[in-house]
Amino acid sequence: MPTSTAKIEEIVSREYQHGFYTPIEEETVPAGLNEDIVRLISAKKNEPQWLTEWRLKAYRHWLTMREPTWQNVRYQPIDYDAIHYYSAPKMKKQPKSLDEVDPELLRTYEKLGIPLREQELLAGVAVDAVFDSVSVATTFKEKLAEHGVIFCSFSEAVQNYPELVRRYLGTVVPYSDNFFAALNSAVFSDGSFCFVPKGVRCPMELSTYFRINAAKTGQFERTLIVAEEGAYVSYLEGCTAPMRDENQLHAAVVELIALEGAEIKYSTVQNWYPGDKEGRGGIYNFVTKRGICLGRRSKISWTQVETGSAITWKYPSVILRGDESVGEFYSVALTNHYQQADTGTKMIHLGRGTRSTILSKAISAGHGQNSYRGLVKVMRGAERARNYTQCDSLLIGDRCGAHTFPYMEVRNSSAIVEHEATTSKISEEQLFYCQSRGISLEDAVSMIVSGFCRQVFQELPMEFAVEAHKLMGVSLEGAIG
Amino acid sequence: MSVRGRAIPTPDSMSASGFIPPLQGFGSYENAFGQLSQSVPAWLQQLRAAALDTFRQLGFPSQRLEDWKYTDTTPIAREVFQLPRRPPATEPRAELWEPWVFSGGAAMVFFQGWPLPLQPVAPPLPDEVSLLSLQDALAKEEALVRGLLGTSAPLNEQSFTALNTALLDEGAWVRLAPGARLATPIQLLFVGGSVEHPTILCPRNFIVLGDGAEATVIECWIGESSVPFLTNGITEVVLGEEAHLTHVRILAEREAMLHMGLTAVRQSRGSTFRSQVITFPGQWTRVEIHTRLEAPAATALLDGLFVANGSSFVDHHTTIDHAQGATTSRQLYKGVLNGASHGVFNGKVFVRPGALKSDAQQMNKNLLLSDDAEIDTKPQLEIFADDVKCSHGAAIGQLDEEALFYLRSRGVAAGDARHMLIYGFANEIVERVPWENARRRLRAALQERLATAPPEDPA
Repeated sequence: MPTSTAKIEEIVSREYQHGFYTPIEEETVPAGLNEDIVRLISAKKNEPQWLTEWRLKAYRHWLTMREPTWQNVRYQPIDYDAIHYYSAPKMKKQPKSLDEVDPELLRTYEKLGIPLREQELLAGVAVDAVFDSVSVATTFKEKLAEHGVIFCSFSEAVQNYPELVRRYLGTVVPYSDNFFAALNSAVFSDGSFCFVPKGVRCPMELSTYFRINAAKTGQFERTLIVAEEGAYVSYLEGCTAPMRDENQLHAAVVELIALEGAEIKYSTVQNWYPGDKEGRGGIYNFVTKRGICLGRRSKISWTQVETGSAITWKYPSVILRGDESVGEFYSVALTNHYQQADTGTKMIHLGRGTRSTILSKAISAGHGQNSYRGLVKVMRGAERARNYTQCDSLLIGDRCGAHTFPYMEVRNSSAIVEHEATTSKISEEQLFYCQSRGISLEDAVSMIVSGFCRQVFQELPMEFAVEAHKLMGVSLEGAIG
Repeated sequence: MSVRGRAIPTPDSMSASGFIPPLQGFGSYENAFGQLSQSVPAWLQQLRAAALDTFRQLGFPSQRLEDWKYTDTTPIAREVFQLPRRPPATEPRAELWEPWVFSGGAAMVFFQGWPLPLQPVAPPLPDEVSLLSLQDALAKEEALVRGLLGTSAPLNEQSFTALNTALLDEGAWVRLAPGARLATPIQLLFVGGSVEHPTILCPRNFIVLGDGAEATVIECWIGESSVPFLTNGITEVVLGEEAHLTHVRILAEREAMLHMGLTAVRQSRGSTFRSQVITFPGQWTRVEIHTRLEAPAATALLDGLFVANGSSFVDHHTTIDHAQGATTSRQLYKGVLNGASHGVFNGKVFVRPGALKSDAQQMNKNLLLSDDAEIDTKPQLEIFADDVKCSHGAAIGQLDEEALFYLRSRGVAAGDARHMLIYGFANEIVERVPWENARRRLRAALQERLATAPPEDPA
């Protein structure tokens, strides 16, 4: 056991491999935030009047809000006046094809192992690559267009599909939702927009790579995905960031809307810079992600693998409004060194016969602190609502922590809500179960540990599952016990 | 900016904000403080004054505080309370409280917080056991009281603890010398209500077991009142090495009875704290149990049951602090909610850094019988050590359709079948009470409460 623990610690303490910096000339607005900066961002993006007004309303509301303090993560106060709220690679014009993209930029992605061309040719994945704030390349647009699927940067969507953006923007996460969502609504620079029309099954997995590059640049992405009646889309979001000594704030907003019979599957692999071994630097990942199942029998599924960031603080949520709609949340969160995570989900049951499943796997090592916080709320009209929640924590080393804060609020007597959580090095009950079935101790340990994350990984699309295994950086199999 | 290891929260840590002052001001509390008997030791009077200051700074907790997220203190904060008369103006009706004296052992009965002079009904206690009112204990064992007061329930940012300390006058003092063992339970019966003005009562009890001592203490809080009657009681428990305490806490209140009850426990090596909490609430009830496992091999076993009807609010908070390793805790709390009642369960388990081989299990099960009822449950684990075994679970649901079908297929009427299943669900906790007379009384009370709000017969 000591050798295997040492092996894990060696692997998990490896230096961050994606910590290079791409020297590209950037266009940055002055640090700090005021109405002029908000107007400037809006003007730079050539936005319509209503959007500028919306940003300003969000900014004014943000001024009245206070940063929350209830979370189970600790950080130095953020100086919002020291952040550059807009940063874009300087380019002569918008690239029309990959050939026009800055070669430096493409090399950056190659180092990350996601060459756009290869993906374009081999993987068949359309990539909307976001470099800092502006989307620089969007591929496979035509093929998607054949099916009527719109997949573009948020800025393009504002220009080309303003009526769609206006109809759905802020309907799931209003600008007044919380401190960081308000900030995002005021200053969001770009992001992704996806619209899948009625009855269309999106022919490929959609993928976005976010990347934070410039120092002292907050990144405020905004993603909006709409699936019309009977549509299906699987969306992949991956994140890496170069090494920096200062903390950077990432306050994104993701909104998902599923109409009747639609299904949205949203997968995240987050590997931003977690800070060094002493807890210096790293990304503050304070993100608001929420989906709404508006129509009957719609489904939203969140899968996340959170291995990066100094602090991860987010609760991808589902509002189950349509009758018999389904919400799912699958999560693996790893904290090491001085990383902190306070993550989980909210399932708000409004419709009849709504169902939700929550599966959270937390792994803590080093001085890492990992919290699961989840809310299951069954409103009065949600007859026969059903929830099952399972949160498991695995602790590696005696200086880390694993915490569970589940909230269950039930107002309907026909609802069934169940929550189970375990925290351990490895569950004795599971071992006993396997052994009672004639499986040797070693085999049982191996099965259980590899199974610890597998339930979540198997929810990921294939390409991501492979990357997730790589990112965990630890083959848990045979490592513990 | 840099991120370092976070501070470790203490169970009683609260943010500085999130409190509300009494809606009618602090005047009534200051008046009550002024009316307290001054014939107490100077140190106690100073302690009361300091606590009043703390309470004046805090006020009552608001729902902005995480620990009070589901608990609205407005029903308390809006009242102007008085202290009950000393001695009480009336006597309690015997038929109200006599059914609750059932142990056959030693008993103390308090009416409106005032000890009643009872004829001894039980054989005298052995010399190594003290069973006194707090005022008598101050007269006879002042140094001991002074040394213990506030050690299990420290005066800090807990509003209700501060208020209890500020208005502290009476309570029960139970002390067993090392090695003392009692075969029969000691009963502490608190009869509230029967007042004309909104009334506040702040009893403080002590249960102190020396090394190797063993006892069962049954605390009963009963009463009914048409005007708000707030009991803000604290029981401080200190268990020596290898001491074993079974603490049964029964609450059977009605109408405008408001109850804030804290049992705060410190446990030494090898000690066992076995707690059974059974609550039939009045208008507003919150019961907290905090136990600190301060040495290896300490064990806490917590069972709870609450059965609420009407518009009752009932809240159970438990905190188990595994301060040292090789400690064990088990919890099973069950709730039955009917009518428009609102139930809350919040169970916290802390495992401190280095508390290896801690073993904690927690389970909360709730039956929600009406669409007007609400249950909010929050089982919570905070683990700062790796070699531990901790689990918790919570479930909210209704009666098992298959079990109902089974009973009906055996000729049991639908209503009876429902009643049987609800009774069976709740009775699991009653059956864990280790004293037949208590179980008998509790079964009757349970039947009575379930009959008050007959379960709906599904169409």
